[in-house]
Order: sequence, then C-alpha cells, then structure tokens
Amino acid sequence: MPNRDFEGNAVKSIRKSAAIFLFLIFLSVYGAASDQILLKNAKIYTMGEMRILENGMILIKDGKIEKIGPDIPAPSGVQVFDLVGKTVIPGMVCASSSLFLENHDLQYSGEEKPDTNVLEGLNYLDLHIPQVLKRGVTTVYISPVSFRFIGGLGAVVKVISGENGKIQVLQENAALNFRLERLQDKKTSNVLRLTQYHKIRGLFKQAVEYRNEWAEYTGKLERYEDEKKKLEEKEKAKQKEPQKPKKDEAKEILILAMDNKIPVRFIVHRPDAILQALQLGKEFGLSVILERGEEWPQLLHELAEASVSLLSNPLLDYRSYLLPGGTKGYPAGYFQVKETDLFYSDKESVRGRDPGQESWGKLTDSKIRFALVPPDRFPLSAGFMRIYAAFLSSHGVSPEFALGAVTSEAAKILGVADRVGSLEEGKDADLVVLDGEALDSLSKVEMVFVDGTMAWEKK
Amino acid sequence: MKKWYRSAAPAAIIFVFFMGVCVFAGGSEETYLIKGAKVYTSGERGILADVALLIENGRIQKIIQGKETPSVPVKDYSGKIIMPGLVDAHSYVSAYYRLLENTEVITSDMITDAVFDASNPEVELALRSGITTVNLVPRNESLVGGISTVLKLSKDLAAVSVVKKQSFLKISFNGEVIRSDRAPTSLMGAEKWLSQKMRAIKAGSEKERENIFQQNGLQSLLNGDILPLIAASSLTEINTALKWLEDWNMSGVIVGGEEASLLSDLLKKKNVPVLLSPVLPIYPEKWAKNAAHLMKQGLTIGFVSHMPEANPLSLRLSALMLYHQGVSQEEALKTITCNPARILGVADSVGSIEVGKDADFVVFEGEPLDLRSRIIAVYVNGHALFEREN
Repeated sequence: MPNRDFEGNAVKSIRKSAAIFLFLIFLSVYGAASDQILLKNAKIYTMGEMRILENGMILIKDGKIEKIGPDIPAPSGVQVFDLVGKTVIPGMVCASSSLFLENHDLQYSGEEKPDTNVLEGLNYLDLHIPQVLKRGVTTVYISPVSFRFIGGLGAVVKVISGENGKIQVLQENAALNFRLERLQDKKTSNVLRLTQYHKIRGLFKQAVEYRNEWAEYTGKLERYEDEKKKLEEKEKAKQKEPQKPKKDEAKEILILAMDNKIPVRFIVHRPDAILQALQLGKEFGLSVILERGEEWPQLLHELAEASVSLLSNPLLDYRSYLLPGGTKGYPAGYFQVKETDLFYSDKESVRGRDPGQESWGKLTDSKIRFALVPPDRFPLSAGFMRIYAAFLSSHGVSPEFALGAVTSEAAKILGVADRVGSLEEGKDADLVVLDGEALDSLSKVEMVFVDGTMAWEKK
Repeated sequence: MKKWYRSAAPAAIIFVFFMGVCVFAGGSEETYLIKGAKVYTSGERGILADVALLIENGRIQKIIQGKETPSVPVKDYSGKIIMPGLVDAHSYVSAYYRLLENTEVITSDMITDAVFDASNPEVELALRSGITTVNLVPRNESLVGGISTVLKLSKDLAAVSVVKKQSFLKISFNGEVIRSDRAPTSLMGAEKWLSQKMRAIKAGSEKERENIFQQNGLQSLLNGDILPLIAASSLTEINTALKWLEDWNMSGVIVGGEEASLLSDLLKKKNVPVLLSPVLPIYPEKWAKNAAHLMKQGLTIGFVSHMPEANPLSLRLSALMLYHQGVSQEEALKTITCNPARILGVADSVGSIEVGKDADFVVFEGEPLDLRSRIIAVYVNGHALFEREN
C-alpha cells in the first residue's frame, strides 16, 4: 500500500492492533473447539473439481477442510455428524452487500475520493449479521456504494456475528466502485450521466499523468545518482537534485487499478452505460466488473469480447426504480421521487421489459464470468442468495450454474476463491447443511459452519 | 291475469336471447379434459393427486377421480402440478399513471376498469407469472381514489372479462396521501377531512353534489352498497382506519398492513381481513413474522403485489416466506388464491379449483412455491393464454 497521511496511518495502526487483539480472542475462543469434525452420508455439492458427491464425507480440522471424498476413515475422538438425506453446499458468497454498514451511511458520503476504504467504516455489531448467516451466506463483499460517482474501495469479509467484534477480512481492496448512472436520486438526466463518465475518465487521465510524472522523476533521479558518483566532491554541491513530486493516495489507488491489481466495478443499467464502462476499461486497461447491468443480453457479444465479469439478477428491473411511491417492498415514500423526476421516457409500461428468460441460457455458453447479486441494497437481502439462485435456475440455466453464481463463481470474481466458494481440501470449512435439495426453495437450512465451527443451528 | 303470457312472452324471448348471448360470449364451447396432474384445489378437497378436470364452456364441469374417461379431447399434464390462477387483490397493472386523479384529494366517482390497457406488456408479464384475476385499484396518493374493479387478465381487450365492476371504494390513510404542498398534511387531517366530507354528503349539501368527482362513491359507501378498501400500513394508520370504520359503523378491508399483527386482536374482533404488501426487503424477517402471526390468529389474510411497484413474482415469494414460518404449502398457497378471492367477494367464481367455478389455473413443472419450477401454462376461462414452448 502507498503511504498514508498521518491520520490514515493512525487509523490503520489502531485497526491493525485491534485486529491482532481480536485475533487472539478469536484463537482463545475457537481454540477449545478446534477438535476435528466429520460430516458423513451427505449429498455434497463441492463446486470444485469433484463436482457432486452423492454420498460423501468431509473432515474438518483447525477450521479448514482436511479431507473430502466418498470415504474417509474416521480419526479417533472425532465429532461425527451423520447427515443422511441432507445436502451440503459451500457457504454462500454474496458479491455485493451493505451488511456491516450503518443505514446507508456511505451512500451519502460527501467525499468523492477513490481511497475511501469501506473497512474504515464498518459496524462490527450490525444486528443483521446473524439473520444473513442463518440463511447460509458466510462471505460478503461490502460495497461502498455512494450516490456520487465514486464509491471507493470495497472489501470481502466473513459473515460472523459481531460478538467481541470478531471480524475476518478475506480481501482488503477487493474492488474499486464507480457508479456510471444515478437512479435512486432526485433530478437526474442523461447529461448528468455523461458528466459522470467524463469525471471518471478525467480521474484516470490525471492518474496516468501522475504516473508519468513519477516515472520521469525516477529516471531523473537515477541519472542524477549516476552522475553524482562520477563527479568530484567539489562539483557535487553544484548538481541540483530533481524535485520529488507529491504523493497522492487517491491516484496511487487508480494506478493499482490500471495495473489490474484492483478490479474496477461499474454500476450500470442501460446499454449505453454498459458500453461506456467497457470503453473506460479498454482505454485504461482495467479489469472490469459490471454490476446490475440489466440490459446485458443486448450486448452479450461485446461483454464476451471484453472478457468482463457480470454481477446481476433476473429480479432486477431498473425501470421500476423510479416509481413515484418508490419500489414497493420499500416503505412508502422511501425514495421520494416524483413523476417529473422520471427520465426514462417509457412511462406507460414500467415493468414492460421482456423477462428475457431465454437469454440467461446463453450466458452459460459465453465466456462471461457471472455471479448473482441481490436486487436491492438492503442489508438483509444478502441472505436470500439461495432464493435468487433458485429463481435463476428457472431461466434455462443448469442448477450447477445457478449454484455456482452464489458460491464458486462469486468467490472467483471477488478474488477469494483460494479460501471460500468451494469445498476442497485446504479451503475454509464454511458450509451449509440443508434438509433437502440445494436449490429447492422449500428446503430449509439446518446448520451453518464458519471456519469449522457451528455458527448457526436450527432448533 | 288472463293474458299473462302476453306480457311474459317478450320477457321470455329477451331472456332466451340473453342466455344465448351469455353462452356465446362465454367463449369456448369446447369441452376437454385436463389430466395427470396433482392439483392444489385451494378448496375443501385439499390436494388431489392424479385427477382429471373436465372443462366445459370455460368452467370446471367435473373433477373426475378414478377410471371414468369421457370421450373428449385430452390435455395431458402428467407429473405436473396445477393450482388455481393467482388472485392479486391490489394491483395497478397496465395503468399505473392513469390511476391517479390529482386535481382533488377526494375523487370517489372514478371506476378503474375504464383505464385498463390489455396491450400493455405488464399484462403479459402478470399472466406469465400466473396471475389471472386482479383487483385494479386507484393509487394510494388520493384520500379517496375511486372505485376498484375486479377483472380477468387477457392480452386481448375484447376478451377481458369484468368479474365485479364495483368491488371497493379505495380510501388511503397510507403515508403517500400525506403531503406538504396540499392538505391533508397529517394523518388526523386526512381522517377529519374524509369524515367531514361524508357528513356533508349525508346532510345532502348542494355544494358537494355539484362536484363532478366527489359525490357518488361516498354516497354508495354511506348507503352500504359498497365497502371501503383502506390502505394503511403502520400501527397508527391501521388504528386510525379501524377507529374510522367504527365511527361510521362499517366493515371494510385493510390493505398494506405491515404492522397489523400489533392490532391482531382488534382486527379479529371486528372481523376485518387484511391484504398484506408483498415481502419487504428492508425487513423480511419482521414482515414474515407479521404475516405468520396474523395467520395464526385466524384472520383472513391475502398477499397483494401492488404491481408494477413490485415484481409479480412477489406473490409466490411472499407465500414462500410464510411457508418458512412453519405454514404448510397448501395453506400458504391459499393466501394468493382463495383468500384474496373471498376478500374481494368473487370466491364463487375464482380462487379455487372446484366444480362450477371458472377454469382459471396455472400449470407448474414442480411445486408451485419452489422457485425453480417454471410455469408451463396459464388458463383463464378455459383458454390457455400462456403456454411455454418445448
């Protein structure tokens, strides 16, 4: 990470020491429970190379999956769970959520800086956490979405109840969030969207200049050092040291994005906005993740060509966002948008978009990496990933594709596939036990394990 | 008395003529058999496995259990599951922007069926999602919005059949009616305004009679010809609605009801059914507990979609949430079929699969509340208005 200013450093070091302290508590709490656990006789969706084990076993040790397979000899003193008739799936991954955040506090942030880091604003005691966990979602990307055009840096964390402030960060700086379209705000227009595009582009261009400036400086400095060695002592004093440019935290982040160290997420809806995102990605060599992007079926070819990742949901429909009463399901007047604020001209049919059931099937064959996200920004929506996957699988995609969109594929897009998203040896023992088929909406969650510990059990 | 037939004859001719028209307008005179499927009847017979439904003139003529096979065309839905067409008791489908008259706060005369637009894509979306009957309502922004109409969906305007032209007078105590730029600006103001207006009409005020929008709906409410459908979500709104009903000695229906469980005893005592908003993503847990509590208290509840404000899937989703509160699938399905039909007063023709009722039903691939199950066909009045290819 580049240098931070004084305050940033202070916050970071406090956070670090707090994290170490909490980790110690965590160890002491979990130390006692670090016995081995054996799950057997379950149907296991591994979401890895082993695909589906009809009658499989999982051995858990020290919070990790020690072994997984059709038959594992039970070590002595192991705690055994006989799961006849049950299904085991990996702990689910929600690729966009506002869990751990206070009521939309970041959405109204005044700063428009790429180095706004969501980790610095987490609410460790969010009461929503157990309610999401009990539905089998164990990992979330916390999205610093702002109504402004820059959200900032998001992070991937484990969904563990906030007691003792336990929180596990899987990936810091998991993505840089931008918004190319503002929909949930008053008074917005196409012109504004264009302005946002140019603001984002301007930022990246400044970052390119900044990079060039530093490259020039390092070049000059090298030459200066070389010459200094050759020259006599007397002449050395005459040589002028090149001036060091000022460090800029925000631009450093953008450079990391341009070096593909941090993926860039664009919240987009309409086809023209999707194309703008692709254009930005191409111009600055970004690794692009499109979030929402309801109109992707129109641009399937372009998306595949640009090899971007897509985060969407068949339940999304941007035309309904701007209804005068707000979208139902939100409290009345939640968005306070008037009819005159509508900028989509198609007033007559607010839900007229073809559900496009068949187009989802095409996604399976394309090279586009896809994961599901909740259709809204409410914290508890992160808990319904299995519902979204079930609904997706009624759209002509295979059940494995739908389940992958809330487990392994989501983990890959978030860059945490080495830890979570599939049940394979060496990975975190985050898993969900269901009393029925994995995607059957009627089956219920019976147990949720996080890091090998039973985090929730149905009473 | 002698020549009674002289006056009776024209009447008889007219009667016969009307019968003919009715049969003709009833559409399909064809008779066919739907067989092989498991049927959630939402009626007294519960779940029927492997029965055949004999459809005649758009009605369910007979439910056949056993080997009897009438010689009529057969539609085989073996292995599939059939449930009654969904009844959405609070919908703005196809006419969202036409269901609000903004000139006055009380506009009690309007009848919503005038603005239904069969060609709107929302209608097809609703049909594809299994919704066959809707109660088209005026919007919540008016204190008294007008009179709602129960109709059957169809993409062909000529085939749209009105089940009940005047189902309710829509009254709103919901947050949307309170605005800062015009009266009423408060809930108590809204209640007062409405009561004042009704007193004036009751007293026969000339001024009220002159108003083109305001008179007749409230007059029929006072006459007891029509019941109020009151939009009220929070505890205070529902409380105000109940008090208002008591003041005017009326019965009615609450729509919204997000905090109705806090008043479940009162609602039960007054026998007021509740049409609940679909699952709220902001607090799904609280929402589900509210619905389950009302159901446990023995109140008649139904879910509504407010479409297009919510997705038509929200009806099935709401029933699914209720199922996860420990309600059986069969009971949960009643909240989107026969319960709303009963609340709307149209249960004699829609909302359940029983002999003599309209042949409105949905064919699913699997269990209706399993969201993986696709809808294969939707029948309205015996006609397949949606059929999935392949």
